[in-house]
Amino acid sequence: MKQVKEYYKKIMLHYLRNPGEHQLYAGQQLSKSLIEKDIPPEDILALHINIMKENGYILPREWERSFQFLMEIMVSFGMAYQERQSLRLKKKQLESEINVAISMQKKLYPHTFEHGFHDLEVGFISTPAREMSGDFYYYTKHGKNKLGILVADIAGKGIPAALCMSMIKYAMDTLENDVKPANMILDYLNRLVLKNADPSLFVTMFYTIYDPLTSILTYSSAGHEPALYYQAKSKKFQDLNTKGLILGVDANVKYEEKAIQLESGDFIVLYTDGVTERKDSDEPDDNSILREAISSADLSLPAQEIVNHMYQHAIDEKNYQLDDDHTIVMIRKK
Amino acid sequence: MNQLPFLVETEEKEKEICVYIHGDLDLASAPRLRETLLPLAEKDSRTLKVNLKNLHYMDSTGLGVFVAALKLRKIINGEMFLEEVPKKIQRIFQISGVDQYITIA
Repeated sequence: MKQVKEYYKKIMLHYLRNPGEHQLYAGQQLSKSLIEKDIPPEDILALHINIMKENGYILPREWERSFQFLMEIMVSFGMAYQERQSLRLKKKQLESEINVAISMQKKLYPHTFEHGFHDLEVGFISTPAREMSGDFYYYTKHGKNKLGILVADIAGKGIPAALCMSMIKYAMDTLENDVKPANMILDYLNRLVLKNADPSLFVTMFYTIYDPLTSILTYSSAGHEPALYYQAKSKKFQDLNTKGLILGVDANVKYEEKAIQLESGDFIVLYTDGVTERKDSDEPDDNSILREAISSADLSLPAQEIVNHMYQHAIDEKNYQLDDDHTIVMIRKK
Repeated sequence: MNQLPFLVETEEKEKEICVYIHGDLDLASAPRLRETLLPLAEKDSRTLKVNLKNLHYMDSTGLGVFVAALKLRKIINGEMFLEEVPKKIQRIFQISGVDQYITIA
């Protein structure tokens, strides 16, 4: 620090006696050292004034007072600048973390539902409200003849949520040859989330298992929105719901399981609450947005087109304001 | 629709603490509720009553604060009640199953 002060004094006095571009350039280079050494602006101003006084340069009283005023400004300026630099660094670190999480997350979602059952079709859509989605959807074969499909909503953001999603995905992959019922799968995932995920996280999930040999669809919910069942013959809707706490809160939860038998043309819709939420209404949210969309859809179209129609209807109703992630999965027996 | 301003107020009594929540509880405002509610849930043995009469909206981040408070209450065997819960908000506690773990008065 002493060397820096001496150097400042030298180039400044040289400039006063014989002003030239090279002293100004030297000053510019010196300012980089001052920043590297974290010397606040008020110290530089104090140094400058002292050098002037020590070398006999007298300031008129008003000028001296004006420098006292400037000193106060520089103290606050210095503190605000430091805080800004610190915030910029934190922001950069956060952005880098988010990019890692986004890149991790992209690899977790299936691009298609390759189930191999000729009498079943699946349509799906999932759009995040921000860079990272809290929604998750996945499928796995259970044994040779059953298909498990889940839709989940992870309450939490950033890398902890992406890690939780990754954990669920890999847990599902290990269940490929397992024939656990839907409620026992939720029980297993509940313990996994409780043990391994960030304590601030929890997960809602709707899990279904379809058996094409019997056309029976079993389902179990962990605090998730009810699935919407459409019966083609009667053209009626029914909510499918079971009791069960969100995953990751209590190890001793018992999850319920129920079943329905699908007939040709019947389908169920799994979704996340972003789709059916109506922020501008005081009434409890229900899935009337989806029922309206299905009632106005051409149900002879493929499942994917019907899903696209439901999604479009949902965002039209909200004037294209996506406040939350939107996920819809439709499972139809042909 | 404009977001309602978020406000948390507390009222301390001899045997209970009342917390009043106003406005929209979401990703942006949840940290403020967390700052007020979680220390009370963790350390104060008085009955904790949370009044939601003026809570207009709550998302999963907001629910997460109540879940965290519930976990902390369990550790110290403290009581926690939710009061005057609007129907829209009640549904969230019902669907999530949290209503089986938290007393809704």
